[in-house]
Amino acid sequence: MLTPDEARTRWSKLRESSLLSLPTLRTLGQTTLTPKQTLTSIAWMLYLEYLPELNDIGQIWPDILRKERTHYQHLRHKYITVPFQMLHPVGDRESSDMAVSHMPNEELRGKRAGTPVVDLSVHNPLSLEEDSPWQQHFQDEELKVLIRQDVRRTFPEQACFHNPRAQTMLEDILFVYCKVHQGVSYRQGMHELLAPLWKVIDEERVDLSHTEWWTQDPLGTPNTRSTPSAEEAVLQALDVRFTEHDTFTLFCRLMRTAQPWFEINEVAQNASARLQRRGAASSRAGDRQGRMVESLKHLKIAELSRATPILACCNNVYHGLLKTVDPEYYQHLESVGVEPQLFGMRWIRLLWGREFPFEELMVLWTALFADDADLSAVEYVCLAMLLRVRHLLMGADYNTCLQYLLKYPPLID
Amino acid sequence: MASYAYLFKYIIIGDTGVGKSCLLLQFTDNRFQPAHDLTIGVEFGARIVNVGNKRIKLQIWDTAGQESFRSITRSYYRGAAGALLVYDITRRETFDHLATWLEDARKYSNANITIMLIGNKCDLENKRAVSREEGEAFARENGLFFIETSAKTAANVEEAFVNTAADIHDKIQVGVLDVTNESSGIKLGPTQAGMASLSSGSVDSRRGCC
Repeated sequence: MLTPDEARTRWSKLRESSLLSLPTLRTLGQTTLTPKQTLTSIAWMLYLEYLPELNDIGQIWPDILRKERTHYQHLRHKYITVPFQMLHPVGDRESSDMAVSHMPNEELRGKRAGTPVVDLSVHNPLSLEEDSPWQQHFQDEELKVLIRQDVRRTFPEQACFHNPRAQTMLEDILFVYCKVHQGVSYRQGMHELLAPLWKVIDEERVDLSHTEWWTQDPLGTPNTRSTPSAEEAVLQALDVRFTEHDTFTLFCRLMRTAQPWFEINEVAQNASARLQRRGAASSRAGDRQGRMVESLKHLKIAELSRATPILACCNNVYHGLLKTVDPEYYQHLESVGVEPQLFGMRWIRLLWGREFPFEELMVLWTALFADDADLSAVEYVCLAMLLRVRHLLMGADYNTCLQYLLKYPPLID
Repeated sequence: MASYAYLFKYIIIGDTGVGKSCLLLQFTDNRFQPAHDLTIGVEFGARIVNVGNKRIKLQIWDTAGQESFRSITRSYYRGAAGALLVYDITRRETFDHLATWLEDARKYSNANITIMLIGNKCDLENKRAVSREEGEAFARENGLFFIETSAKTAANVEEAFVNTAADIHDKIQVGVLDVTNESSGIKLGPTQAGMASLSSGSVDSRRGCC
């Protein structure tokens, strides 16, 4: 948490150094913008296009914030609050008060009086009716267990993620995200993209209840009074009541680019299995083996890449960038048989969350987001990381190469 | 630089959170990490063990447990000589899922793969949800080896890896496994490569490093 004054000071630093220009702020992000001295969360919200501009902040930001936060509030209500209320119909209310009072969104508790009376023949845990809320409840619980299991293992050495408040927020955000994106749902690793966003946002939040323009219901009708100043709008963007909302929105922005990395196309996998079988058959056939295997390999790479985005990324780093930039090194890795997805899948899916210490990771993410919202530097960062360990890998065998790539050596100043 | 007679490839499979990575870490580094990072994709470890009077290098692929990784994990079955199939004795569902894992292993691996069924977390006796007898019965019915381990206390961890190696080694001795076929998950080590008159392309003559 920051005090309003600390937030103002950091904002004025950011404003002065960026000259209120987003391109300048992007350049700063790639060079000198360091966490702890400025408002990293605001910079990330701008970089990832949650907030649009650095001019007319007072005009533009409050509306965007209200719109996005209301949207999340609505989703949360739909996927978390209403299902909970459905399972605790009016007659039950007295006994369910304890549980309700633990729900983070206090204002929603006021709405429960409006819940309709339910048909208990459908509405009971043993009902097999498709539209029984209990059926949905059991499915949701499975998803929640899956998410909770991973959230508990989020950055084990970072204490800030291991308290009930943090864990509940991370779980709820992932749950709502999965309900909205049912096609992909939850995939392991998403939690490690979410957690750093949450941390950066959470650390820079401000309690605004003592400011003179604070309103009870910031999601309601806007104040009729004149447009807020830029500084007020920035403070609104840091409102502690919306940590969860803003983290969700920022996560969705990041996932616009990152979600395909979690997609695994079964069609592509089946094609790969088929090709492997054909490959095995051809190696049994003997002489033609070499040529067949080689051509199958290329076919396989092309076919897999088309359908599974993460493999396309890994292959491009390798067979595209590295081959062009450093053919000798590429040849070596090819000859020992180190496939790019072995290390690349984790590098890219987690945006190197396992490769660098947390503080360094924040600098890297800031630079990556600053470069552009589509994270188009991702493959180049992978290339740079490969080139950085060239001297360790050239001449090394398969085991040694993989050991360096899967346990990436620390940076030394 | 250490020489070895054979290199065996292993794969570790099983539900998420059963302790696959912890078993590997205990085996390769002799330590236990209570809050282990979630495995994303695959991890990799290697160690040399002695079977009889032979040094054998184990190259171990530790895979992610979540369903969504399975289609990727499958490509590691091919070319594995041994599979460690792990469940958590304190979580019944991880035992219930064994059949699915086994089906995958049978479908995608070579026919002579040695599979060791491992009931992990046997230090948590008071939370036990799957009896030893059930584990033994499942192994017997499916032709698997069976052992209960604790990655935390290191109980039986060494045995799980070494007994699997011993069985693979036996299969080589009796000629069930063909060391010249790469998909068997076995390679001749640098000490044997010189004397073997095999197609030199398939033999890794580079010196191993562990």
